[in-house]
Amino acid sequence: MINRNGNITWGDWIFDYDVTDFEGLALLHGSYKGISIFHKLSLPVIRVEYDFDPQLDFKDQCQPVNDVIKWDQAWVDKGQDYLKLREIRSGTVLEIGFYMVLGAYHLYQCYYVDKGGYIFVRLWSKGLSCPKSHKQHRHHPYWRFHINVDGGGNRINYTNDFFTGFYQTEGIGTIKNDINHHWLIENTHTGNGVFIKPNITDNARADNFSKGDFYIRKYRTIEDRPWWRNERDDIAFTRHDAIDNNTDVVFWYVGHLPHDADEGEDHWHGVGPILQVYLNEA
Amino acid sequence: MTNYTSKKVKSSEQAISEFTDKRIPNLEQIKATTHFLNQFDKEKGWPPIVYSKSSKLFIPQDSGFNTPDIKLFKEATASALSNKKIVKILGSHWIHVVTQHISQMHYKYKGATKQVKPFEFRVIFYSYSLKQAVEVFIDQKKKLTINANLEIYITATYEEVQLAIKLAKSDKRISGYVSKLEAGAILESLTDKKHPSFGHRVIRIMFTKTYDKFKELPPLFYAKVDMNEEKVLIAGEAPCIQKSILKK
Repeated sequence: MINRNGNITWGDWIFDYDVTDFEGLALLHGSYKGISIFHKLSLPVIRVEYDFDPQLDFKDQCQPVNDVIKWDQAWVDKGQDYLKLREIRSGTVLEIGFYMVLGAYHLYQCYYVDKGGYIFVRLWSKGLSCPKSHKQHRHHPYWRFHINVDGGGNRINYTNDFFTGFYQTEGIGTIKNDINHHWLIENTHTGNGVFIKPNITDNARADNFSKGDFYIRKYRTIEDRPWWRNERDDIAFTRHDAIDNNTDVVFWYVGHLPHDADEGEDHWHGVGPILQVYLNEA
Repeated sequence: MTNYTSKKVKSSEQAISEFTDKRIPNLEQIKATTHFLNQFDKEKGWPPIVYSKSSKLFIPQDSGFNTPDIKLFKEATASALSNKKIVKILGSHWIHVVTQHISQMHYKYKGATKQVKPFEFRVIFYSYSLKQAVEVFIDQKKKLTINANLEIYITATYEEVQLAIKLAKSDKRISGYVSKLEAGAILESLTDKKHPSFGHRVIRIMFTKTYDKFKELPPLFYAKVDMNEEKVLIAGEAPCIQKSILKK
């Protein structure tokens, strides 16, 4: 059996992994080619919302829930591999994933770590609470990326087809209908950075329940914690400071994953961004 | 490399400063890998396994993991519970939720060389008596800072889930049907403010057939358990069940 935490050297990557108590499968203390890249990549919550179902009484409607991936809800019986580490694609990609069941949902949270400096972050889900009435529900995973390129002092840039800029304040944001968009969290002193780009198959956007696509924060110990918002409450912070080129950056990436009962019983669906290390070789 | 700050723009969400930048992600590699990640071996069922000509297990190292010894977690929890003020705040009915080590986020290293502050913890309790969470922050000098009256979300603990399943399985309304079914659980707050269990920790239990790698299994029976009162509120067939078992 594989331990719930450990240390991995994979090509030029060195990092720890940990199936945490309340933040899902986390990658910690990551470096690439000897350059520190991140402190922690984690998934504190998956917020789930259901459509109103006209075939059910009001008291039987499914309420919003917070799914929290944690070690003690691993899918442990039936001989399943609930913590998977395997080399694939001719040894160029390391898959590290954790499989659990929560209510009627089966969740597989994983990272595909590519030797070329990429991490494909993914949440896969299946399961229907209520197949009778073709109702739809949406999973909204809230990934928390505590990035620290070259040990700290970072800045966040945003680029789409028409614009490139860097953020000057903390805050929530939406990408609306932007095309070819990505973020670059860079160390302006060294020029090294990490691109964060939505997967090209992730087309869903923020809605009234999950209002943002990303949230930019400075690192604060008080916010480095298990999920704290009630089921109906979106991520929110009261204080928003200015940020500059020397910020200890936390980037919340919010995925939106619709699942319609019409898609059938065996529909696997997934969502998640791509991280690519950028090294300044000038 | 980059031409910084040409003009300032105020977006609808945040202040953002515009500049020119020709650096972009490697889109060709991303597209190729994304394509690969969406090709699953359906014959192997769930969880999704991507097609790959070669695949072998990877064995990680245990020794390098950068977290304190489990004894320090226990020491932090014990330290909080030895504080009379905390015990008084928690009241008569409470649970220990988690003890979280938080100082690993402050460390700095070059490559794989790591330094960790040895002792800095957050201990989280939930008081059923207060209907609130209580957090205790313990710094490196082992000084305790208590943060009570927290109306925050605390996910169901393993112990709560096990107790809720046990209570649901013994409920006479469903006990004859669910003993061999799989049970899943999730915390679900009640919305009816007039309900006697409003504001309590209520866990919804869903019972399904045993695991199938190839099919999704909707709940057959369900129950709601009030953990404050340790009482089953409701139990029966899942509201959306397609063919009633009880009517057979």
